[in-house]
Amino acid sequence: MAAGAAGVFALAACGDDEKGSGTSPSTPGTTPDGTTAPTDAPGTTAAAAGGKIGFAWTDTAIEVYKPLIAGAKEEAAARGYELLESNNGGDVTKQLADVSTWVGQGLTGVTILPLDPAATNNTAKEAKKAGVIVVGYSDKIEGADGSTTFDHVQGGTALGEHASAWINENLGGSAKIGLLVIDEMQVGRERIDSAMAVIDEMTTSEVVGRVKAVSAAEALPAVQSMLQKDPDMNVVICVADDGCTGAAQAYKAAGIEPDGIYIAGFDGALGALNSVKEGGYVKADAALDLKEIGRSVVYVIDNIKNGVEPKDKLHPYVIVDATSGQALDDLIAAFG
Amino acid sequence: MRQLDVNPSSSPVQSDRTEPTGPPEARRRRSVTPAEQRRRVVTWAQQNGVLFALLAMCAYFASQSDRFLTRGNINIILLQVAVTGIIAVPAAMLILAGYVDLSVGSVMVLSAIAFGQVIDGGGSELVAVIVALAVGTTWGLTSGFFISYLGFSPIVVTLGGLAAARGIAQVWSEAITVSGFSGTFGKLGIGRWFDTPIPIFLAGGVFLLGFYAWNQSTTGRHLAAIGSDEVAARAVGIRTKRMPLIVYGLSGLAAAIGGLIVTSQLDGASMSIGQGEELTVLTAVLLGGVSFKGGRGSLMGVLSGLLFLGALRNGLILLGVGTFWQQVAIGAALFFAAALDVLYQRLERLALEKGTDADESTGLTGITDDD
Repeated sequence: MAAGAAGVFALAACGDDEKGSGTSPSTPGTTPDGTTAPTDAPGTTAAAAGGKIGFAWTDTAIEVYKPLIAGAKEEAAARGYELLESNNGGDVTKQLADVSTWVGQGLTGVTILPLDPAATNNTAKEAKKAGVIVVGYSDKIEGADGSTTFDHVQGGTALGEHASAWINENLGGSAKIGLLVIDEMQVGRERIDSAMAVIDEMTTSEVVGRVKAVSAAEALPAVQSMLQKDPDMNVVICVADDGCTGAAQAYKAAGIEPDGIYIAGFDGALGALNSVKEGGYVKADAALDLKEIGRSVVYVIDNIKNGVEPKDKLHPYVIVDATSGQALDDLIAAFG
Repeated sequence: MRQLDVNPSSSPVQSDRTEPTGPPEARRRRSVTPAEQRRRVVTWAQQNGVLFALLAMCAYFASQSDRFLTRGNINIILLQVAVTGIIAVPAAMLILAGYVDLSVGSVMVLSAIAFGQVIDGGGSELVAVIVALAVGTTWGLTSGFFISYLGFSPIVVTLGGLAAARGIAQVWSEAITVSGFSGTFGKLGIGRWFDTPIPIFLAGGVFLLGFYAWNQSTTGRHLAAIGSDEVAARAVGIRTKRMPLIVYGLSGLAAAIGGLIVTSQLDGASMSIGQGEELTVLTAVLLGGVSFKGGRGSLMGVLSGLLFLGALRNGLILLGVGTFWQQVAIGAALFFAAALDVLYQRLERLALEKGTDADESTGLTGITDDD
């Protein structure tokens, strides 16, 4: 389960308000004011002239890591940094050992997803003592210089609005809802609770099941059992996109047609995006621009180094459905 | 891993199929000594303790939910434990022989990824299935070779396999899920025969083969003998290296089959396949009364343990139990499994201490028959 939990993109507490200007470079190597950062050409050996930036994420086996790290690498190359990755398999001990090793080798800055906030705070303090810029990823780190976070409440609210509109249009305003959750993590609670707050307000729906399931392999049996309890369950909100795949397969295996079923999730993972595009059980996704988030892993550190904004970057979710067209295609294209 | 407190002279190998001699009437009249009675109680508890816990739990869930005992829900419970069951049969045999395979979850995902990558590379599904099965079997045989022929620790080798197989799967797939397989392959996971999901038939077939090997052939008794005392087993001519090697190969094959079934169910070769499966398998096997030290166990107990886990998860959802309490209940089942193992060992020791004399020749310290 631990590894499965790591499958939720950015599984950690929600970030606070954005302190920066809110603008961010959409083109690698450009600063928020539009000027070009002093860099060498991407891919050249001289590209590391700016120093080294470490990115201590969680389990790199998660699908969303590919566009994320691609964005980070592009930005690092454009701004003249060498990017270091931590292959920790979601193990906080390995993650922080990697950070300590990097700090010992000399580092400009490090972006850390705090798998364990208390342990990360200590490592972050040591890094700061050594003159390393520390940035929190997904969650702020005590005493850190900046952050790259996500607005889970905004994403949940937007997805709740989309689901409510669909329920009102297709189910007469009343649905039987199953929730695939991970309640012990703040990001999970914020995503699901904010979505349900809107659905409760806009419809007369009923929650018929709430089961811990993150990955597709966990979601499949969970939804199978939920359908045994309530064969009329017609809406499933998944805390993470991978769960949408398992939920959709559970409906398919039960011989239930997709027309009256609404499944939606969070993250912007490839499988869910493709399902949304194809039409079928998965009707919507609260997606993050993974490549842009990857870029911010690098440019937030570079901003802090150069004294420019934003130093705290809050990324919004975008709701995509089968009618999203180019926006959906762009998100899919980010996976290469 | 070895249980070394069994006297070789009373090993299950020598006692294999030992029966009282003489005419049938004499056999029926043969009196049962108190020591043998105690052993029978221990054996009965090992075989049936979890079964009765399962029945009690099912009765409770049925009293709380009118959907629990419907055919559809029973199918779902069986479907949800089918993959674990397929893997649990060779896993239980390994544990019976004093070995363990902690890599099954990762071999599942590696085989699934192998299947997906062959398809992604333009290969046919038949070739992809063969490659996936070959990958799993080869992985199992390699682990078995290191363990049984080169004397490496089963825990170290298979823990290494747990990390390495998932790592290879990640690098190979770049963590991208290949999806959209044919309807024919889809039937493996979600198809039905006689309105019953196909994976249930596959798991049933594996269990039948397991029952035959465990109880009707010499395999089960030989594995129990290896688990009880490898030196004694070797002394009486049991192939103490080849047998574990073969069972490790079967464990890898079973994991590959499991990986393919889940891939079919999800219609995608996802990196999430097999996460934590080794723990689920181990829990089912230990719940079923197979000693983690080897030398003792019953496949019927493993089946009961497996159904116990499946019914517990399903029943908690049907009752709408909160997610935290679901985790507590599943954690309690793990604890219960460990406690049962300790209890059986103590009962067994007690029975051995009290039963000293004439009936030692029955050699009941090893495998427990399911028939």
